Amino acid sequence: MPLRARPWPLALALISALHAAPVIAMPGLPPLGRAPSVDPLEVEVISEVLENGLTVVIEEQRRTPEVAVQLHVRVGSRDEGPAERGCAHLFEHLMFEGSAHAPGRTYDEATTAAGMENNAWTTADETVYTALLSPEGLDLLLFLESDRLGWLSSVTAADLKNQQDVVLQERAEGYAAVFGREGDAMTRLLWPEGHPYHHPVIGTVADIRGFSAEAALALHSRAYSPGNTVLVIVGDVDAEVALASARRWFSDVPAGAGRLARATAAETPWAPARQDGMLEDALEERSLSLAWPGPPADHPDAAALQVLAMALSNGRGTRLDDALLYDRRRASDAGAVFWDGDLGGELHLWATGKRVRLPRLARTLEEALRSFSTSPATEAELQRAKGALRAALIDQLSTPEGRAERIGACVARGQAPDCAQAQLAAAQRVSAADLARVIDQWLGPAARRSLSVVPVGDKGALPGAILVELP
Amino acid sequence: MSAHPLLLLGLRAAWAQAEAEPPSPAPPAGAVVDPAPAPDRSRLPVVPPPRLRPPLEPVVMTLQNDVQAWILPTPGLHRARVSVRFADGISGLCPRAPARCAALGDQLGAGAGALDAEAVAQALDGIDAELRTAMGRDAGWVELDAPLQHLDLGLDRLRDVLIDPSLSRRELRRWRRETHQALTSHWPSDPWATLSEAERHLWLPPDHPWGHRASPGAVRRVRAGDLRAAQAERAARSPLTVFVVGDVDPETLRPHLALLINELGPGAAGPPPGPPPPAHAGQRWIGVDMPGRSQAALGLSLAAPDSASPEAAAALLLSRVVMDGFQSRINLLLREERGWTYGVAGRWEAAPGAARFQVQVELPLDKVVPAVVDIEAELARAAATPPSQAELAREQAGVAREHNRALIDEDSASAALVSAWRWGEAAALRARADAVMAVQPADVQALAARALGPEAARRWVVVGDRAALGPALAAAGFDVRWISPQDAVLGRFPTD
Repeated sequence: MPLRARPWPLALALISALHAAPVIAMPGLPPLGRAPSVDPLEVEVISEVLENGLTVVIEEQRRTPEVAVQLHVRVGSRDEGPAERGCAHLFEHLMFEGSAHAPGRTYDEATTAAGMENNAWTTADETVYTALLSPEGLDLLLFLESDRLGWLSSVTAADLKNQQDVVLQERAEGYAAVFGREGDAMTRLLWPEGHPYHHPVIGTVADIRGFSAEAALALHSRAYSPGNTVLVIVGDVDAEVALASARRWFSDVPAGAGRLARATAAETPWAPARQDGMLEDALEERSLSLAWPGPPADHPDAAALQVLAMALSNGRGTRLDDALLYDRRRASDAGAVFWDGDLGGELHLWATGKRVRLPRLARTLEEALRSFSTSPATEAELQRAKGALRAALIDQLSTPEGRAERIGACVARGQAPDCAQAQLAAAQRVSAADLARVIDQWLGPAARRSLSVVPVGDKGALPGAILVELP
Repeated sequence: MSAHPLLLLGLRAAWAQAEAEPPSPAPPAGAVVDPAPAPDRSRLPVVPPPRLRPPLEPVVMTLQNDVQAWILPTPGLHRARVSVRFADGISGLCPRAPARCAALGDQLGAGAGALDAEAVAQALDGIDAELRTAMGRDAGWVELDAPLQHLDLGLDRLRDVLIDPSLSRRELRRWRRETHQALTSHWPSDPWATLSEAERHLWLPPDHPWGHRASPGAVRRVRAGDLRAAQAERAARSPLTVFVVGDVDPETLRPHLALLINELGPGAAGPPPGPPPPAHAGQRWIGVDMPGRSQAALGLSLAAPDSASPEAAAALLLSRVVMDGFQSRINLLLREERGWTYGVAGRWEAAPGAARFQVQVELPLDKVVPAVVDIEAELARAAATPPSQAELAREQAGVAREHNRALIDEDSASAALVSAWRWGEAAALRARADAVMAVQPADVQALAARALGPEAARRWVVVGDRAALGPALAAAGFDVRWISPQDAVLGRFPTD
């Protein structure tokens, strides 16, 4: 079904007027609008590589009296061998179970006693440990981080058993959530068996139960070395003083195995293969997701796919949202997102509704996507999508922990600390023709994966969809 | 609208870039240096507790019609937030037709002045601004977030919404469909939404001023004329207060705010005291049957002092020691000792009229009864013995750090500013933080003995498969009344 005509002229006129006109105060009012005193997109760091290979990156940010400290370790589920599935994530839990000079729960107890907040996460590409603290706590935190990087020798059978239980429950809670199995099911459809992204980050039940303390320490030896890690400090510190503190605590950490050898995108290709999968769930609504494998983050087309996803779904006035949520309320939820990983990207479209017919939903999603080929994106649509990407980056860069996350991810990938800004600049150059081109090149029917999620016993999945097993 | 799980993919690395696999670490700059002398790892570095930073200094100015503007300058913040709070919410404006007010709260931003809903959305996106409108139980909010350089333009849109909202039939039809879907299928399918709604309704009965229930039938019956009448009534009589956070000069802002509120008013006298809290006694259990669900969501509510109470500081620390946070006793026990859950969520709901302590946890079905036993044991321990000095100092340090972080973004700064207003004075934020630092273990235990002890009323809700959960709960002596997810969302309980 074609998209119906849209009331662009008024919106276009308005946007043009807003962008063309200088900010003029109401008569008699002092002008209010002004540039912020600090440009959040600017990144100014000092960095150093210690003799053991650890990269230290520090940025002073004095707006609030706090410091974000992060360790970015270049290890994720993509680095797991067949006998190690799920262990990168499980190991993230074990990193809180004590080290040689800070045994047991010392890490949590000491950090929270000083008012700190800590957390960690694991993705397919990296594992990140993060803490937010008052400046006075920096020495303590660096002691604790250096100790568990260098001397994690105390993983006991009891520690392992407890964290296996916690991770199994984490998985069970995630899978029991509404549409909670959908992400892992789609990952299996998107990436073929043997591809590093095929298996779920959290692992299967058997993977998690089968993990041993010896395997945990082997992973630590292989991946948790200074040369495979980036330490980022952002916040209310004197950069030189913080650097001296980092040197003091990390210089004696053994160099270990060094930088982890990893497969590159070129070494992990995939072939286009249409697949239709389905899940049954204890739900009242049906859901349909369409997805395509795409280019990795360093590919020139990644920026266009980011803009495309934002132009499809970013609230009222974007094509997919209007078609499903606003012009007609056919779905209770709908959206689009492009995720760009180191080895490949994923474009996802989805919609959910109680009595929706999934084949019809698939047509609507496809039509919204392909409309950018037949009816090119207007300048207003492009500007809006690019503005939203810029706003999202600025929001993240407004906190020390957000800045540390961006800087750490960039440097861990061997890029400049402001690589996100470079990607944003690439997005600003994307044209309507670029959107049509990436649709043609990456998002063809032959490469499409679909996942229908239907209530138990419901026959509404897309024709031919095969049940996806998640052991 | 809830985010689809796939949206979480964006969190995986929305802006990540693939690595080029350099042969060796490739820092952006810097040089290899000589190693520092080995540090002493035999003992932990000593850290002084975080110092409370100088008090935040909101500026309070009076505009026309005695409308107060509370302004919190936030140097370096690139966005500003301007919030207009109307003192009439659902309970004041639409006590007999809550759906009407809920619709009005949603619809204010859907078109205003000469612009329809889509044009408003595009105009806001064009300047990277957001506009939110809502109607709560005791207040209505119209709120703008905008970058500093576009604040003038954002205020124009905000003024349109305040003074000339469209309230169109077309947008109202969309709201009716969306809300009906949420009430009848979206929320009842979601165990956590169901748990939270059931707990809220169980805590605030229908005869409480804030105990209104949503109804799909009432949603269908809302008409555009109803909204215009409610809007006209609010514009004519609802007292209001303006809140601003941002890197702005208050005196420069003053005429803009005066233009914004125009003839609206009068000014609100101050925060309302809130209705009396609901009276609860004994123990009550509600089960929400979700057949086939492999996990159970368990929730507990207990009466708590509110934010205006002299025991507010002790309540905050009691909540953090027992149920709120990773190091809280219940989380350490159920997650770290037992391995039964990924984490316990606890909190102190401080609003006068609805104050309570809340514990929520997801568990395997066979761990619900043992978890209830464990939770009760922890409540009894807290009631019987004071927290250790170390526990208390830990939570005081956390509060101090969070206090010092208040200006980090517009959300946090705005919450701090509104809290200061609720407490009635600009200097209240620091005074409250000082009060938390002065709390002693005996203060916490005295409160715990009353609030958490065996005599305190308990309201339990469990969401899960009745066939699997029912026998064990009955065998443990819990008189669980089972209802459907739909009834839980709509607050229809057996004794109502």
